[in-house]
Amino acid sequence: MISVLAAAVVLFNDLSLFSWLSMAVLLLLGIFFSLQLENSFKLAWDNVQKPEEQRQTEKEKQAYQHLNQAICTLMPIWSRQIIHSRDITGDAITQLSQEFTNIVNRLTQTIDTTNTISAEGEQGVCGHIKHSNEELNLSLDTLVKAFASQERALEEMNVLVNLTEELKTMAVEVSGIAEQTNMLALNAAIEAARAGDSGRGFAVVADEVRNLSIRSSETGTNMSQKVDDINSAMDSALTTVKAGANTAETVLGDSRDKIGKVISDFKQIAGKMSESTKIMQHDNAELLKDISNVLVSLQFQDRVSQMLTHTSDFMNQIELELPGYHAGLFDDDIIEKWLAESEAAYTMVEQKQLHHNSAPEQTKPSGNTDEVEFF
Amino acid sequence: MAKTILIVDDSASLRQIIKITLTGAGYQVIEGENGQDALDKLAGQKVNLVVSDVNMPVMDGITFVTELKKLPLYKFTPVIMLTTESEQEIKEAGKAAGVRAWMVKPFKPAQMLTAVQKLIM
Repeated sequence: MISVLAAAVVLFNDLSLFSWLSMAVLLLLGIFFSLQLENSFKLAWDNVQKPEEQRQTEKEKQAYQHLNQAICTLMPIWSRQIIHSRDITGDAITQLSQEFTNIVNRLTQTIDTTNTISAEGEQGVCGHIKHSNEELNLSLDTLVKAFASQERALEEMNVLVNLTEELKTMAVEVSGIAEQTNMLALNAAIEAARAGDSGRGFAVVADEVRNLSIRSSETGTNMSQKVDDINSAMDSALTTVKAGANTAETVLGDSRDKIGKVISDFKQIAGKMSESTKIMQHDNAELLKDISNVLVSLQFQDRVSQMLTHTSDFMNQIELELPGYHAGLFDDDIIEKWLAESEAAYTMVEQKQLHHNSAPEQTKPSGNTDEVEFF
Repeated sequence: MAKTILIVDDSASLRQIIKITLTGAGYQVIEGENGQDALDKLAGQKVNLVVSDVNMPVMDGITFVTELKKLPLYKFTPVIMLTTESEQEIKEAGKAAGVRAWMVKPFKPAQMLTAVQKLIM
C-alpha cells in the first residue's frame, strides 16, 4: 500500500492536491505501521522476557518457602535453647540461693552467739570480774581474820609464859619456905631434946614438921622443874607460832598481790574481749549489708527468666502461625498485629524499652519507701 | 509464737530469697508455686500475711487474691504483691482484689521487712 502511494507520488511528480493528500495519507500510514511494528516488537520482547520473570517469581516463592521452613525449623530449636538456658540458670540460682541460705543460717547463729556475749558484754564480764573480786576479797578477809586469831593466840601464850615465870618464882619461894621450916623443925627438935621427957611430944611434932618441910621442898623442886618444862614447851610453841605468823603475813601479802594481778589481768582481757566484740558487731553489720545486696542481685534471675519465657512463648506462637501466613490467610498488617501482641504481653518496663530499641533503664530495687505503694 | 507468712511465687530462687529475708527476722513461712498450689497448701491453716507474685502459671496472683478473699478465714489477711509489673492498670486490679501493698522486684530485704511489719496482724 505504501509502495503504491509512493509510486503515485513519483508518477504525478508535481505538487498537486492529490500528491499532498497522498503524502499525508502516506505519513499517517507510516506512523500507524511504525506504531504497530513497535507493539509487535514489544509483544515479541515481552514474550521473550516473561519466562524469565516467571522463573524469578518462582525462585522468590521457593526462597520464601525455604525461609519459612527455616524459620519453622529454627524457631522451636531457638525456643528450646532459650528455655534450657532459662532452666539451667534458674536451677543454678536456686542452688545458689539454697547454699546462701545455709551460709546465712550459720552466720545468724554466729551473730546470735556474739550478740549474747555482747549482751552480757562489758556489764556481764565486768560483773563476773567484780563478783570474783568480791569473793576473793572475802577469802582474803577470812584469812586476815584467821591470822588475827593467830596473833591473839600468840599474845595469850605470851601471857601464859609470864604466868609460868610467876609460878616458877612461887615454886622457888615454896622451896625456900620448906628449907626455913626444916631449919625451924631442926631447932625445935634440939630444944625438945634439951627439955627431956617433957619435950618428947614436942620432938615428935618437930619431927613431923621436918618431914613436911622436906616434902614441901621436894614439891617446890618438882613444881620448879614442871614450870621449866612448861616454859620450854611454851618457848617452842611460841617460836612455831611466830614463824607461822610471819609466814602467814607473807602469804597474805602475796595473796593480795596475786589477786590484784589476776583481777587486773581479767579486766584487761575483758577490755580486749569488749574491743573484739565491737569489731565483730561492726563486721556483722557490714556482713548484713552485703547479704542484703546479694539478695537483691540474686533476683536478676527472676527478671531474666520472665523475659526469656516471654520470648520463647512468642517464638512458639509465631512458629504455629507461620504456615497460615504462608498460605495467605493473614492480612497485610499481621506483622503489626504480632508486634502489638508481643508488647501487650510485656510485664517489665525494660521489655517495652527494648521492644522500641531504646536503652533500658537500670532496674532499681523497691528500696525507697515511695516505691512500696500501700493501698 | 512466730507469725506465719505465705509466699507465692513460681520462681524457686525468689521464694528462697524471700524465705531467707523473712525467716531471718523470725517469721515462719509456707511456700506455694502458684495461686492454686498456695490455696491447696493453706488448707484452712492460719497465716498472718501473704506475699504473692502476679504472673504465675496455673493461677495468677490477682485471681489468687480474689479467691483467697472469698474465704472467711483470710478475708482480712493482708496481701503484699511482689512483682515485676508496675503498670497502674494492674495495680488497680490488685487493689480491687484486696491487695494492701505493691512492691516491684527486685526488692530490698529491709524494705520488705518494713512493709511486713507495717501490715502484719
